[in-house]
Amino acid sequence: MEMSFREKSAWISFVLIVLVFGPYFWLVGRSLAGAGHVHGGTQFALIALFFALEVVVHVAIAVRSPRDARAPKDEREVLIDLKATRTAFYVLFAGTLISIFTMHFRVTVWMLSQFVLFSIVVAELVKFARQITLFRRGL
Amino acid sequence: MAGCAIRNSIRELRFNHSEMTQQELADLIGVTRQTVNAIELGKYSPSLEVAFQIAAVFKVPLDQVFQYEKAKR
Repeated sequence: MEMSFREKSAWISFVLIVLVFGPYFWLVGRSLAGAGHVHGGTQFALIALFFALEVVVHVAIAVRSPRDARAPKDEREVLIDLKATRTAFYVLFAGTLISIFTMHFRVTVWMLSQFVLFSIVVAELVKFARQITLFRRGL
Repeated sequence: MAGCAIRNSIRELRFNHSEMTQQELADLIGVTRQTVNAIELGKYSPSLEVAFQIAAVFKVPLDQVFQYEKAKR
């Protein structure tokens, strides 16, 4: 079945997160294991890169189907968004609690920021994965 | 809702209305074509508002579009 604009958008965001933050957290993992170093500014540069890519790719698919892109979300799309966001909230909640818990293990501010960013990224991945699943299933 | 099913006759009604496409129906009721498809296949139960809009498009009572059937246990 042909995908709606919102479903394409969810796929794009999911893939971009994997492509942009996957290698980054691999490097962070190596750094935490003492096998490398990640520059402090990389985090902000990647976040900026992610948003820039999101805008560029979304504009590209909006140009291909302008009517779908302009149309407001319908009730099913809103419901899918709400269900996916609720699932992602639990992931973010757990990630935040774990991040707070790590403070008892003499972690640095840089490490703590990595835990928090990782929680956000995983929560977003779960949100888009759930959206894609619900779009595929109908709801 | 467990133990019940809402069936619909949208496909048949579309066919009887000059073979209206899913996209045409979607445009008339303000949803995406994928949502019309999900409703037709029984994967998504629409809100009352959308259900009444569909009935209004085909100029039939609501129960001619949607039928509630209690599942056999």
